[in-house]
Amino acid sequence: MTDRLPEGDAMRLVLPCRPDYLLIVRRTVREFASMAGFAPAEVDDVVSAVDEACANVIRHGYGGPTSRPLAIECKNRTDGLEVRLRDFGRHTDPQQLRPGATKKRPAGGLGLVIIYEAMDEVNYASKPEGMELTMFKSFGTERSSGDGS
Amino acid sequence: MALKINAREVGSAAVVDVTGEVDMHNSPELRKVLKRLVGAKKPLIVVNMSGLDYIDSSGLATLVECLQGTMKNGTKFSIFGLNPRIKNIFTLARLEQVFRICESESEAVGAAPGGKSEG
Repeated sequence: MTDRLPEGDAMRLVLPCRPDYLLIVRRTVREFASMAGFAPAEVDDVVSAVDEACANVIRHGYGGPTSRPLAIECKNRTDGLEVRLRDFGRHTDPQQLRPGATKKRPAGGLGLVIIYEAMDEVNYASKPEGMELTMFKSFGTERSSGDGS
Repeated sequence: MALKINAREVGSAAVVDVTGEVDMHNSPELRKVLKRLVGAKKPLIVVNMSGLDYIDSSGLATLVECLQGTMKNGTKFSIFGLNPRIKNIFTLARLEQVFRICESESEAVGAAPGGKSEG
């Protein structure tokens, strides 16, 4: 059994924005969410949302795999987990980054459906360079002891 | 976990065992195998997901593409062996009603001519 993370703890990953790094992202975020105290099904939700968001940055933000950076920050808040993704790729109208906003990108569109279903809050924002996605998932009623199994 | 794909024949059905994690990085491998089977107009294509730990939207889109291909061919497509984690992803993507989801290989393969399985 692992001790639960103290409230306010944060973790920051900065990775090349390539598909071969997605496995590392999933492993790392899974451990952090488990140690934050989410139940296993909620951990799965967080992992899917972060993985899909990263894939969308690779596919649409940078237009393909690149060595340019993708920063992922996870913060263990009192009420849940906050995840921020920051890229330095193309701007996209945040209004277009909602499920059903466009039919031009079936895979990316399905990813957005998963992101919005899995998380309680999803907010895309344009930055002077690139985009920032902030997601939040609140702790459910079945908050685990933090062993993450 | 690395992705492993094994295609085998059970009667007239093609059963594809998928093990590991399917994501944007490796889903083209799954797409290649399923596209070949759709092109061969197999009467029934079955995907065994009992060894699957994760699937992302690109993997799901690959399955949807295969389903559409079989519908166009007038053939069948089924999946089985979904653990709770994988079922949850289908639910998140609102795809749980789209596929014929079976509990076992024998149930999935039963729809094919000569399709008897040990599963």
